[in-house]
Amino acid sequence: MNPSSFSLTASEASGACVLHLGGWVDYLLAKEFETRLFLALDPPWAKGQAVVLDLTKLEYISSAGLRGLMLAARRARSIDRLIVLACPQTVVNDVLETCRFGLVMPIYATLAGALRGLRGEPV
Amino acid sequence: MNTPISAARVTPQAALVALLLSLGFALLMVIAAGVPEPTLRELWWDHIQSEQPRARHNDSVVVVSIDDDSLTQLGPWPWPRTRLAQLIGSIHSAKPAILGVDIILPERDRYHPSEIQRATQMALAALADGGEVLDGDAQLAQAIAMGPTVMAAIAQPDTPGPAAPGTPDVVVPKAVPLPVAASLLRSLPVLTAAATSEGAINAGDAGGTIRRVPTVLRVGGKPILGLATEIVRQIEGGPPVRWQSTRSGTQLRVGNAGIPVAGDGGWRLRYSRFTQRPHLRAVDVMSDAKLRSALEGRVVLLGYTAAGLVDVVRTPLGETPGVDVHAEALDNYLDQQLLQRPAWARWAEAATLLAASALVMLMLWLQGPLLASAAAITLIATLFALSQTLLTQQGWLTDPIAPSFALLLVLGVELGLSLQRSRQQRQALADALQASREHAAFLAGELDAARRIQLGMLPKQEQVLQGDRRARIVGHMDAARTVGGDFFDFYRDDARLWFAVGDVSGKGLPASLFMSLVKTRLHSAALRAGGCPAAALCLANQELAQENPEAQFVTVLMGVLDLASGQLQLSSAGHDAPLRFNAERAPAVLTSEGGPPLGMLDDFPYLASRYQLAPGDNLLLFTDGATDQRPLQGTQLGVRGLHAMADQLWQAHRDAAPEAWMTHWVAALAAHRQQRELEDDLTLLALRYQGDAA
Repeated sequence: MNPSSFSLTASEASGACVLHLGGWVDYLLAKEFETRLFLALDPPWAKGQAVVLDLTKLEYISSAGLRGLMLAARRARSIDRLIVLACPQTVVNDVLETCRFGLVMPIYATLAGALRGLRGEPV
Repeated sequence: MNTPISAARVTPQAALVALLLSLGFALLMVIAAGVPEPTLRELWWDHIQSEQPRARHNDSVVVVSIDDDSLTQLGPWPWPRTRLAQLIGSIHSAKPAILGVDIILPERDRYHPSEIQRATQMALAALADGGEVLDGDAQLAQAIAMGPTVMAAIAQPDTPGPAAPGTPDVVVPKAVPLPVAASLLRSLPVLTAAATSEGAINAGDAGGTIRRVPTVLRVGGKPILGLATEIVRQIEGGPPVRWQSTRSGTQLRVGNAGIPVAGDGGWRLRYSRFTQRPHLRAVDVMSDAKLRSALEGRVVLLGYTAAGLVDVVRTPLGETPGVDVHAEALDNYLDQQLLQRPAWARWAEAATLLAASALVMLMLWLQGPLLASAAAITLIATLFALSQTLLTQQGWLTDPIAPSFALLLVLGVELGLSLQRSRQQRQALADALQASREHAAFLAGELDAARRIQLGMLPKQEQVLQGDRRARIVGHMDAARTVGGDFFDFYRDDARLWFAVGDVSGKGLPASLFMSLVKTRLHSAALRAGGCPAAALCLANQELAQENPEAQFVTVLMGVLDLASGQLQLSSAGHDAPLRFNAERAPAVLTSEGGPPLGMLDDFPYLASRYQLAPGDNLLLFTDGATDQRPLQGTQLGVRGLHAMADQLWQAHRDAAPEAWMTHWVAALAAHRQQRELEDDLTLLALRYQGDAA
């Protein structure tokens, strides 16, 4: 993948909407990332459905990209959707830990763990 | 600045100009059909004839030529009438369909000594046989009367003369502008009386290229047929002749036959090479009976071809004996290869011009001037090729020159207008570019001013420490854009040195403005925080929550160093932990309590960590511009890479002062990204605690 591009695809697992993020979200792509993330969160039929942001293929995220995640968390709360992060890889995990992003939304090491966490089951 | 620039190649005004021009030309082409033919299209038709002469279908017309050999053998011109009588008698003895005599014999026979001698001998012989002795003219008249013979008569435009007899039963409307002559130079009455009829010659394109012969002339107010037309009339049995204008064109009806004619009665000729026409020498006709038999049933024209007799005219195919022009007309008639300019031609040419103009305008609109010009040239070439085909295959004279000329004019005017529009657009673009440059220069000036203000807001060690040597602190900031969202700050609060490094999410002017707000709030909070960086972060976070409509956030690492005791408090708002090292101790990460970035969670209770610094200890604070930078080929430096770099720099420069450290760090980071432009703001802050001993 081009270092300066990202991908966002959606699937469903265990009743939750899984948004798969991939690639590289830097300052230049942050605005587009935010817009597409909001579009993915907003379909009216998905109201109330939990959302897992799968970061398995996300290679890098800048502070501007983190702002997009933060706004997505706020947006999800405003439309009654639970939102969690799953599977951050090393570099992204460093960024999230440094920012204490776990205080903004829960972060799970695996997708299965995230789905269990959303159901209130022990991870 | 928005400058309206039209992308259309053809404006409505230009289309209207093209339409009016095309219509005007088309109208002119239709109206001007009756005026004399323009020279250019005549030259074009001449060119076609010279390139593709008419293919001969048969040899119905034979020319008996009084050529050089005949003159050599039978004596110089003028021949005695007896000899001419002998020649014409020989011709008629072969029973041709008709004989046309392209020779005028207006004066009486001359007496030549040799002829007198020969005539005397012949007369004596005739008398001895009990016969009658005739003079030369009478003998010639007798020979002429042997068969159907049409005598030529010269139409004289200005020379007055006796009244011309005119051709009987020829009706041409008076409005038709026939060629007019004052008189006819005719052969002797005894000869014309012996002939079947007379036809006029030499009233056509005198002095120029002979493209046609007259079918009818008005001589003394009476219509008389041209020589070729009269011969046709005689071939057809001498029927009445009528002028007829129909939708398909104008014709001279000779009985059932029709000869297409121009408006003035001109018979346009489709030339073949005259050398391919049978020519019999007069001397051979007189002496060779077998050869003479070839004349039977054919149309025979008797005329001069000898060089000295000067009856040579210019035709589209070059110089031609005058008698062959009449022979060509008769050949055209007998082969039914007649040229005509159809009545519909002018309408078709006008319609072609309109259609071609529309097509070229469409091309100009859709494809631009280059392809429109190519289309126009292709259309013109097609018109010329079509015109040539129509002439050679159908005998139709069509004019490709007028529509081509008009089309080129329309295209030229359109290209001129297009060029003018283009210039106007280029000028508009140049103006817009200039305005844009001025605007960019203005913005650059504004941004440069903002950058200078931003840099001016950064603290200076000398101003803050004011000679206090217990600590040294140096900062470095490079913005990825003209202004950045990173910052560093330090200030004193009695015996405490406050310092902070921050990174606003985003870059550029918005981040810079938020950074200024954060910096101010942090400083203000520090003054109210009782020496605790965590309390300062809490206060600043609460205040920013009320002034952050764009939901921006900022990572901050804030510290307070007690200059007397070396006690250090650190609190992090989502920021990378600093490195600690001294001359003996390798760089190590100094983790601290804290929380998320400011602006992310309202009312978050930030905490601080405490450390004890020893004299000689160094701290290096940095933003993610240091860790996230990457070379063109390679990976990001990352936090681990930064730690490894710190180890290397420490090995090489462990005793260096903070100022030197900073220089080494900046150079090492630039080397790692291979001197590429920064992708993110880069901020470094180096602090050395030197203690009371310093």
